Amino acid sequence: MFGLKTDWSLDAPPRYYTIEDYEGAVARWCPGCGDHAVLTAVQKICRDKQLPPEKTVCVSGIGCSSRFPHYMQTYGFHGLHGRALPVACGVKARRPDLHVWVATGDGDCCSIGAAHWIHGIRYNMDMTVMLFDNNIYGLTKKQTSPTSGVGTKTNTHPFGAMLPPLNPLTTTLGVANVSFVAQTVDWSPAHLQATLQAGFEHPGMSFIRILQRCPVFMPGNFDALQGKPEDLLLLEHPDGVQVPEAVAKTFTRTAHDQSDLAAARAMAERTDFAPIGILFQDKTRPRYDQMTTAGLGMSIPEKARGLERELDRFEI
Amino acid sequence: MTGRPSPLALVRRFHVSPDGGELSSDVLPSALEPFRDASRVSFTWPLVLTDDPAHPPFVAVADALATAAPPSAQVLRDNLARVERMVRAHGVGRLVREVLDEVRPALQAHLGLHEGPAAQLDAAWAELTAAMAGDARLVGYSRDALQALVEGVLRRTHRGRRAALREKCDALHAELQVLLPRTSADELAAEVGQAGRFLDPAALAKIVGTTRREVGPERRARIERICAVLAAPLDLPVVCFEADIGEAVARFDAMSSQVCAVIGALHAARLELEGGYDPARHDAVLEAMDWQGLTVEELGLLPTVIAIVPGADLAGDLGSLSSVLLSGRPLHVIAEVDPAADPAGASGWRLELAYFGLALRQVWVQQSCLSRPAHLAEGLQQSLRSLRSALHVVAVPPRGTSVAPWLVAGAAIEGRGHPLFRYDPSAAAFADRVDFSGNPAPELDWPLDAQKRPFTFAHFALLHDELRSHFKVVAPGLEDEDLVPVEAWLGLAAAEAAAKVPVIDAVDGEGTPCTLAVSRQLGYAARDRLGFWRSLQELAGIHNAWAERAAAGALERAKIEGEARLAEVRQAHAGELDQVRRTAADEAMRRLTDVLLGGALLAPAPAPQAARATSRPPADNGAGFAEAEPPAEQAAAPEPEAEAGGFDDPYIDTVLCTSCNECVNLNPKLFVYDANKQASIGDPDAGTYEQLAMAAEVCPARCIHPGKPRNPSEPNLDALIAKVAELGV
Repeated sequence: MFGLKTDWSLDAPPRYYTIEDYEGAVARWCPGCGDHAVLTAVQKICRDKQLPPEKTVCVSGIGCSSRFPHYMQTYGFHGLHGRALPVACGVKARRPDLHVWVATGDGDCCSIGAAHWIHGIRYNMDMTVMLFDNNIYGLTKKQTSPTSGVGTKTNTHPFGAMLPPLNPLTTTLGVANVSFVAQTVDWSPAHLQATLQAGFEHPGMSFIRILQRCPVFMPGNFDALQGKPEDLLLLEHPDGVQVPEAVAKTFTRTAHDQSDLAAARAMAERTDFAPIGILFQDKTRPRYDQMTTAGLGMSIPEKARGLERELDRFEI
Repeated sequence: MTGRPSPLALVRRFHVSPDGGELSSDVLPSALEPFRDASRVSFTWPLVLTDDPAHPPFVAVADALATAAPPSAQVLRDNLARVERMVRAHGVGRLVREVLDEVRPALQAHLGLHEGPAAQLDAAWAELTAAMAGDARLVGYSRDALQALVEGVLRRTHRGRRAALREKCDALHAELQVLLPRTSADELAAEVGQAGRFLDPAALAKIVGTTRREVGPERRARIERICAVLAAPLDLPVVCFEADIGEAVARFDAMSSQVCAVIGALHAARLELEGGYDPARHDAVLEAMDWQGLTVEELGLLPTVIAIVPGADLAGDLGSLSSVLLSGRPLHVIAEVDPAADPAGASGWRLELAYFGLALRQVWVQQSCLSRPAHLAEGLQQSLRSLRSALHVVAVPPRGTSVAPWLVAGAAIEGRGHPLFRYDPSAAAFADRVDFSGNPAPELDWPLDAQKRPFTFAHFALLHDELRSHFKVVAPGLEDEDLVPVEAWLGLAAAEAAAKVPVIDAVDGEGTPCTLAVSRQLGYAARDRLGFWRSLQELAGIHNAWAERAAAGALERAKIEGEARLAEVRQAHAGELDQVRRTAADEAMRRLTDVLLGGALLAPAPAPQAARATSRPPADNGAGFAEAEPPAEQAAAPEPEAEAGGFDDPYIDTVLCTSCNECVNLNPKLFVYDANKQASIGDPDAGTYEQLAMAAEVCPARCIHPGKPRNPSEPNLDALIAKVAELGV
């Protein structure tokens, strides 16, 4: 109207951020570690979304990947083992204005933190949870983790892990009020970033399992998948993860209805392919942070008036 | 008992006789609230104007910046809105490059970037500046801009024509020179140029002088006169402006006589070359030649004379305007008008100059607006091509408004205060003569804003200081069925409308919505505007009563014919049905008889279920998404990519880089990160082949390709080449 284009606004945030604004300490992960790729992808998303560093929080538990907050020039909380999600939920419960990223590993999340994992998923607070799944405890020098495959020789199981591994996707999809589950791989930067971005944009808790290489303690663990991308099953949907055609064509592709929980569970169970993309998404699931933050902006007189209204309901 | 009048009574009283109460100047129509702070809004002006033919003659600042910014310069592209705001704040009337030079340090200081991105921004800025034309300048939205815009557009149109004329004159001049005898040694030496050093001009002059045709003194004098005209440059401006239509006519006639002299000389030269010049016949014809004797192509060589005159002056002397426009001279008259002037019939109804132009029949007419330069320029070029006299009624920046003038101009178009249209009398059918493009929602009475509220002429009038006395704030909370939105009030019958008060929605300086009562006089003005708008709609073929009546008639005829045809078909169908029923009954009886008598049924065997099942499409998973099995070719090995080993230079598949720092730690000059923190080859000579091979080996993404060694004297090359070959990168 009035001869203006639709993008007529010249409003710009007061500051502009580049990747360097999100770079914290020099990352000290091992050479070839997949965590580097995740760190860069998160920094690029922060840059693209122009998230003020002071409005961004990275929370982690214990493990290699949990060093993540040190390498981000944002607020961070390097928590207790398995307790990344309770801390992150605590942040979100009182500070809905902050963007929360959670870095947790397969040991941190799926073993000692399993109880918090389940309830964190059910709380469905608005944050992005990245499960760095390298199938091993790396920081403690190669111990069996809940996702280590049968036969994986470790310091705790020198003759090979004996039990079938836990599948974080099926576990998460089995929790009540789950709202977003996706999977990606650290060695495809385009898919990794697009998946993390989809998770960031999701209103609620987005749980993203990242197949992550540990070249020191699990060398060759994902070589087969990395060398044979057609064994990765790209889940395609108009609202799903969008990657350039040049990247997409290297994978086997399939249409997947990410609103269908049963289809998501069946997909998560597949063993012939490793699905990548969004398995399940429901933007309408209730969010506990919306309940815990209700009335946060009220002034003291407003609160007093509300109390009086409540008390006036009683007669003495 | 007499009490104070009720709020509704006060509003009614105001409607009939406005008391001239002061309405705060910060009250705006609701639709304009988002644009209250003009510094936060991107719009067409200021324009970037240039004469450089490699660039468009004018373009909006936002578009100029977006076009010139390198596509890969992310920091710059992310901040284009900020840059545009800073460029606007640096003022107008200056060269774009100068302004950009000043904005760059200010932007750098504001962004406070790290060293790497700051250097990238500087590099992108250099490209941005270089992509702007050297003479590109910023022209602000003002009355002065009209002349600059028109001149810029027309100069380009004329450029080719003048060059072609010059070429033609030069060619004929050279040919005519051959006819003139060159007998003197000096003349001959001048003619042969450098070759004179190798010849004896005096001896040659004797030979040439005897072999050339004899030219009589009279003809020689004539040819020399023609040559003098052809050789002289056509010293005329391509565009000239006058402030009075009478002076424009005089200027046109004076300049056209100069052009006619040149055109006459061209004709005479051709005749001379063909030997057909007959002084008795041609002297008088060429002497009497004027612009009316020019061909269409020659008319295009005339300077464009434009009279820019206030619309009120033209309206006061319609006789002169008519006689000038009807004289046939391809003159252009630009009438500067203010769409808010005289809207309310205070001094009679407003004269619509452009509509008046239609009555002159042979005149090319447009109503346009300086705030829409593309519409105005397109009309100018069309009228120039038509070689007719043209009348351009152009809305120029208004005076007496506290809102940004370009926004008021836009509101004039939205509120039907200044509809856009063109009239080209050369089209055969009237339907093809009127061009209605550029108007918002041309099929509606009033366009709708983002909240689907109509924007009427009354809303537009609220933007003008002198018309604010026609509005009064309705007391908050006062609601009555007699307060009717102005667009609905305009649809009421006269008797009913007289009992109601029209109101519009507005918003005060604090952003609080309010309702304004509109005076009866302004209501009538809005009705007049709507009537004029509907007349234009009809001319443009929108809601055309004749067409609608014809369509209704055709529909009625088709309906009658259809019903007759339907009755006919029904009758035929009934007959066929009866026949089928009889046949079916006979068939049923025959089959029953067959069964009872043990005969075989003659019906064909049903198709096997299995065969049908195999022909069904693949079952989907219940949610509409059939799972695609990987096609055979995809399940097989992936398509071979370009042979990496075929490249001699080292390269990195940057998109695959996982930013692990391994290579940049090895040699930060050989390997560099881009703005996305993904690696590429920086300086390929800044490192050894050994480092390339090492990096390729440790790269977890396997995206480093060392290529062939660049330094053949590097030690241990054979082993390194073997190692790279083993890696397969």
